[in-house]
Amino acid sequence: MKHKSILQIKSLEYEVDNQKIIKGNSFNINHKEHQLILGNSGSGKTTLLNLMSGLLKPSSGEILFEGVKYSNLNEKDLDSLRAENFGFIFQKLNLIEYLSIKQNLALVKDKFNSYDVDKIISELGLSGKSNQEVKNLSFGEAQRVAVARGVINNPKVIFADEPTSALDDSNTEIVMKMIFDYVNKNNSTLVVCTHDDRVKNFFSNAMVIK
Amino acid sequence: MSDLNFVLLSLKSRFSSTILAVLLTTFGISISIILVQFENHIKNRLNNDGKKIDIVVGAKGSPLQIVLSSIYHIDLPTGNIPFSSLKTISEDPLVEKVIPLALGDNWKNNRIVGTTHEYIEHYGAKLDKGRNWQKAFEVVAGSSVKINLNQEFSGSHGLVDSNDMHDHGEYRVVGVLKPTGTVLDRLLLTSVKSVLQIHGQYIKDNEQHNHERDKHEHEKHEHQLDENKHKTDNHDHHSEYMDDYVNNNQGFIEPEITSLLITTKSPIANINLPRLINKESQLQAANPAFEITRLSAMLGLGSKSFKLLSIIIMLIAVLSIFTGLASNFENRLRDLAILRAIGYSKARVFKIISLEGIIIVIFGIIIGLCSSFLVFNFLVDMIAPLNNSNAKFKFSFDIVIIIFLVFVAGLCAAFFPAYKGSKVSVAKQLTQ
Repeated sequence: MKHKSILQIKSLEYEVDNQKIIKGNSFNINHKEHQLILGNSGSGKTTLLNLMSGLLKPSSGEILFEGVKYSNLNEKDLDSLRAENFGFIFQKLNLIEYLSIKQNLALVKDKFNSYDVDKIISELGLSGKSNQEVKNLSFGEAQRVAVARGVINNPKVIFADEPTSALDDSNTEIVMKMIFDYVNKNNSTLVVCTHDDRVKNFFSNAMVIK
Repeated sequence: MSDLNFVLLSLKSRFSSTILAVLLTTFGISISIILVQFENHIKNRLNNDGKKIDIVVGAKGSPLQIVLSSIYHIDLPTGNIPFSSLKTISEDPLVEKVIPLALGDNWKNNRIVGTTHEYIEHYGAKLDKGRNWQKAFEVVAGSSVKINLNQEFSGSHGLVDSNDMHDHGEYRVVGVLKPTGTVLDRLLLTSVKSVLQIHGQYIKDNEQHNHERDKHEHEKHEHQLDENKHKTDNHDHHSEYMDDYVNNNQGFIEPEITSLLITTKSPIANINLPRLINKESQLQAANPAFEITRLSAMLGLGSKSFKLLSIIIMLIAVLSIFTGLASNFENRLRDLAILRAIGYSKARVFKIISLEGIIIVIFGIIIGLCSSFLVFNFLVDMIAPLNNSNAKFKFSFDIVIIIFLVFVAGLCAAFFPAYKGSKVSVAKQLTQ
């Protein structure tokens, strides 16, 4: 039976050096109900995103993906869960610079064979540059590659951390539309953490953390 | 993308440090293999050339020099000994076999050795072409001497090539030996009589004949004194190695040879006989086993230094693999964190970094093997003693051990960065 909530966050706490960064948060994210998490710098948005995606372990509380508790999974299972179900779009893009566009996408696509790499590169308008190392791309081009890498394995949840913070208004519009295009095409659930109010309009569910 | 593909791209992105690590591994493995080759070659040659020669008797001087000059033909003789000592020593009950050697000349750096057929039999050599010498000035050539059957030549004075040719006494090659892997391969063998005669010395009609008849009744030798040659040779043929001959009152020279190779009947004789011989003022007996052990001990210091050097180079190679993987490790942590974030397990990241080390080591080993082969052959071509002694690159178990040790050391060098890389804090790296 398919769980209604794709992600369940229960009394989640995370502390570093006795300082609580996440303080007892609880909320659910349902299938295909895209979630915006707004907050100022240092409010713990990125930490929350990392906890939800299993990149960090909570100090206390519980996170469930489709009813499966992260705490019940060993590290290897958690790696598999992340690889098979999650896509990431990072604030700093985090592409591997010495690899080409194609190779960066192929890294993720390796097992899942969902999108055709050439097709997605063509959709990004980067056909002529597919073999170019990403360190030689403009920021806008690299941003598109980062988006493509986040969606290429057809993930159930896409986590995006400040995807538009370095973009102007028109590019913010373009990138958000691009993300939503893929999200809708894949029936994915999008979780975006940002301090950028400009993206509010794209979401019906917004949560503010302080 | 396969992990191997990713690793190759990663190594390519750090081209300089990758090449440096490969080259250092190559140097380390090449030097070690070349040293092992030289060591094995010297050991084999010492064993093969000196087999079953228990005592060498020569003129008074350095025993080691006698052994080196008479068994290995790599040094100058200490002088000459009376031909009559051959008979005296042959008659000793402790002696099983005596092979006389008469040196003094060479042809294109190949020593012309006056001896008996026993010398060939001692090393188990077989004829490849032609026949054995039957009379004076007939020569049997070793396999690596660049000379043809029936070719005639004149020897030159001394044991190294010079323009001081004997203008009389043409030798003729009547046989060529098959390769033996011994000193015989690079010698030109003839009768003792030939060498003596060319230096104006003569064995009485029955002297060599008697000796050989006693030992080998089947061998028949011509002992006709060539009067014509005698006349033309009636001038001084002193060589630098035959300067202590004796003129008798009639103006005849008492024949002299260079040395005697002796096989004794028992190990006790190896100790007693030299003592007895050394009492004789003109003769010096040397025990090859003892002298070679002494030589090895002297050379051992050098060989140990080379071994130490090759170990140091291999350690540097291992460290370079380590530093190659670890030096820009901080820069790579983000890339590794990306891999972990997109679902690569810790084990897979560990495997990727280890694979980088393995590839460096494998390339180093392959290039090291090839270069050691090429460099060894180059050195053999360049260094005359190696060339003369027919040094050949041989795959031995030592090479397998070197490869195994370098491989294991390379793996160990890769493991620490691999372990550290697999433990990377993903969230921390990606948000920095």
